[in-house]
Amino acid sequence: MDHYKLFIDGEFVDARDGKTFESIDPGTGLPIATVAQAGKADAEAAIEAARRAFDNGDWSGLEPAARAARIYDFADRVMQQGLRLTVTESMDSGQVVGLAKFMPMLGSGILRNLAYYAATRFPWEEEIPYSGNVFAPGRDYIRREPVGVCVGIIPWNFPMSMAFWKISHAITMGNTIVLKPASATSLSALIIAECAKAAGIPKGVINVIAGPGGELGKVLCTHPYVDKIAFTGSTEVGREIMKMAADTVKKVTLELGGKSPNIILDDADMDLAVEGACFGTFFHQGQICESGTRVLVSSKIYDEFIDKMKKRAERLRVGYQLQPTSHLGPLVNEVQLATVERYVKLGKGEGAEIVTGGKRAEAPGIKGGFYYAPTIFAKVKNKMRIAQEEIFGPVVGVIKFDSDEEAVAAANDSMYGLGGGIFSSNHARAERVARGIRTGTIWINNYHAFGDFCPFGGYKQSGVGREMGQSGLSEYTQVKRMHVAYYADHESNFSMNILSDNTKISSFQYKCPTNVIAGHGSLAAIYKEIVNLGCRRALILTDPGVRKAGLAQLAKDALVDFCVGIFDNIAQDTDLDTVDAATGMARDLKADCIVSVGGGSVIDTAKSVCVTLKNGGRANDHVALFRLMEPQTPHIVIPTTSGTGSEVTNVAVIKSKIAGRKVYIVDLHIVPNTAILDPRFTMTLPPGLTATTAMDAMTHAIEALTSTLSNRICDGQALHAIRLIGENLPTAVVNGKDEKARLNMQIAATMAGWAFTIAQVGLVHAMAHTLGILHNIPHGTACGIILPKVMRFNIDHAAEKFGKVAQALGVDTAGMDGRKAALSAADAIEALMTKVGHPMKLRDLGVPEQSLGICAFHAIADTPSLFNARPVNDPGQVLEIYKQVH
Amino acid sequence: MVNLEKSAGQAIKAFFAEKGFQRPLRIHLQSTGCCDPSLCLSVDHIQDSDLIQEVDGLTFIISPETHELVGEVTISYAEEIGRQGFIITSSRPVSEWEGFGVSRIRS
Repeated sequence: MDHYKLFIDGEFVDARDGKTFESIDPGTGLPIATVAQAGKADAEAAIEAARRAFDNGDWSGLEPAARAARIYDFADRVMQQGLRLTVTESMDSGQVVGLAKFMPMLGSGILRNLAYYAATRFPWEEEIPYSGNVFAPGRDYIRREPVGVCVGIIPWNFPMSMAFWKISHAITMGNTIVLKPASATSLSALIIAECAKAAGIPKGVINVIAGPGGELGKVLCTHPYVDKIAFTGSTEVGREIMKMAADTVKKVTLELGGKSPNIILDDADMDLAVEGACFGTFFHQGQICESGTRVLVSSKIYDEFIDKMKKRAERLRVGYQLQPTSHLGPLVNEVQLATVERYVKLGKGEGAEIVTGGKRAEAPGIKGGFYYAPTIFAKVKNKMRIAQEEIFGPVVGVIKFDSDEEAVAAANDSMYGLGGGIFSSNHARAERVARGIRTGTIWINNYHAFGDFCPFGGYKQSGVGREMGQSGLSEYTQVKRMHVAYYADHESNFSMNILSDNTKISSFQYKCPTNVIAGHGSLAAIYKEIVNLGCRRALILTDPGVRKAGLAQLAKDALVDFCVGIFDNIAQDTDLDTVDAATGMARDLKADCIVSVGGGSVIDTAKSVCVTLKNGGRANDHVALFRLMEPQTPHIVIPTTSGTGSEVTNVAVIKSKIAGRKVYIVDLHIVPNTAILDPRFTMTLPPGLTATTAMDAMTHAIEALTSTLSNRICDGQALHAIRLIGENLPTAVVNGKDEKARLNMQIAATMAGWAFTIAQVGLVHAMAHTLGILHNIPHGTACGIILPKVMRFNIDHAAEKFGKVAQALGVDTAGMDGRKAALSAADAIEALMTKVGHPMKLRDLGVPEQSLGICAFHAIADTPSLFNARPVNDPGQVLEIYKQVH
Repeated sequence: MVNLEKSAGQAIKAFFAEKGFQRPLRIHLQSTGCCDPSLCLSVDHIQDSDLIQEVDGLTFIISPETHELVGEVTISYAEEIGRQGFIITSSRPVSEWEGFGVSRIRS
């Protein structure tokens, strides 16, 4: 008899204690080889060898392509041993030779396929284009790295195949492995080890130890050098392995038992269904974990099906496994035979009816062996033990059902969820049924069909994790997320600043891509600009007031045939429903460009429409910060107010009724492509609105100048905006037709927009947003009323900058100390507001005093407050400001 | 036929006390999925052909076929953190994993 040794650290060795055991041919009951029996010391030696081999990097440090080259050689050696592997496998495990002959080819194939995939397509590195954390910019990416030392424990039903699965997955991904084959069927794994050695796979990368699981299992599952365990076997053992591995938090994948349903719908091709049911159950004597051993048959075809399945089963030939005419070979040993007999007896006791089989079989010309006849039980109820427990032999229970829903319910009424089949001539129906079944694999009009790239594994107590394909290979890797900070500067680190008294962020990124076209008659440029953007179908968004003033029509006429429609149902404070309605119109008209004609509400609506139109779904789906990866639907803005700055900013502020507050889409990709500052569009703005929208722009500028993200580029824009507003607002209010004043106001608003889109705003906006959502106070009005008070609140945190504000507003600060100069800025703002008739008190706008408390809590939670010059953590302080302006 | 360790006897009695009855316990083969059957205990009725043994006031039954296959059965009980249940081994082990897992009494 041949003697097989253990394969440890690149050498074939006997067990340290010299023990051996016999491997038995289940077809005859006679021994065919002796095998060294590994003990605890051998297991430890194998693990240590695997650990050294992993840590030295000779295998784990190779590029996947270099590993693949070695694995291809390994695969070729397997093919060279093909005949020996086939015969040995058949004799050792009882696999009929008609099946075993495929195994070396499949094994060689999986080695090559997975190695090639790992070398060419597996995502070893993956960019994370959007991290989801706007406060920690940088490059984020994933590296997938080998896990380390893997233990593979495999069963006796497909020993060669299982050995190839475990080895190929582990070593392809750069790991090392200690493989423990089932004691009953160790031979093929040891021949595979010979192939690995001949191919020059470095020593210690693959180790094979044969021995009893009960003795070796604890070492393999608890050794601190082991990083991952992959087990295929019984649920009872798998459960213990998972518990043991938990102590050292090892990665565990388990492929356990099953009691898979094979559903025969009433429209199934009968011959195919009968063949599929027999194949699903009796293939390899039913010793397959995903076997379809509960055949659920529609009551409409039940009698015919049972009759045909009986006849088909009785034509199956049970015989010695090396006999080419044998369809079924022996069970693996006498215990398995006894177990099957026990369950058949149990089934009879439960009231199921044997249709065929139910007894041992004899193999022609063979004395001995462990053969059992294909057995069909009819009148089985799903609650019976023979329908709930895996028998692992050629025994099937046929269960009747009436409706598809009943079939699904019965299929799911199991602690297992490994495989399953559906036979039907209607794909759509079969898919519907399949989606209701909680199981890891469904075969439609087929069974037992595996693929190297098709993930396999179970739901429920059928296991954890997957093998095969990218899912399976990923189980043999660890994910490392890498982050490289955008700014290597602690003062630019928003998060680190939480532990600092210095809240000012020092670095900045300036990106303002809008094409701004300004001046008298600049509207005419839109006819060319829409073509420059590659568009032909513009939808105009506007509000009823602007439309009534004839401004939307001006834009429509300027666009000629490029305008496909006008949406004008936008309120003063836009909301997500409005965005959805406008998007719906854009979709119906197949718009490829949005032209917004209006103030901030219209422009922000348009920005959101551009995103929703581009990406699908509803507006609420896209409320996010810096998540977009590409340009959105092109957007041209024609502002009709001089306040919002939204024509150049990266933010859209939209009311959410569900959230009860304003939500934001912030992204560089929503910055409008083009802004047309034609003073004609602001000339009809009434004095009151001229004043209040101007205060919105003023607030943008002052808050950008003093925010924690302020920077010297934006400071210049902000200060000039302040100067332009101070110089031109009174004129624009008194004489709305003064085109020069109007144009300067538009430019001021745009410059303030550039400033705050980079440097952000602060507490004024947080408080104004709150008044907008709770009391419908127009945004600019709210900003104006609150601005001077917040300036005074912030005074000691931005005194120098406020001094410059005062100078920009024409205050002569010569001789003033810093603080006094700063305070004079707030005074100058109030003076300007009084001059232009801007409201000064919230009470005059109908805001009830008793609501100020809740306003304070809302305001402090609004995002802009994060960037306020002075840290705002106390709602009491905010309440105090509200009271001052009330 | 059956070696019953003290801890196992106590655990079985506790089980019956909780159930409010006491009946014979059958030692039999079970499959817990995918290869490697194991021995387990189930509350059951005595069949005519069963072998019967009384131990410490408890009745154990086993079919002659199973007894012939597995030999002497030892029942112990594990009560460790994360591992509680019956460990059933036999003089002729039913699988290489015998004694590794734990099981509960099937009622």
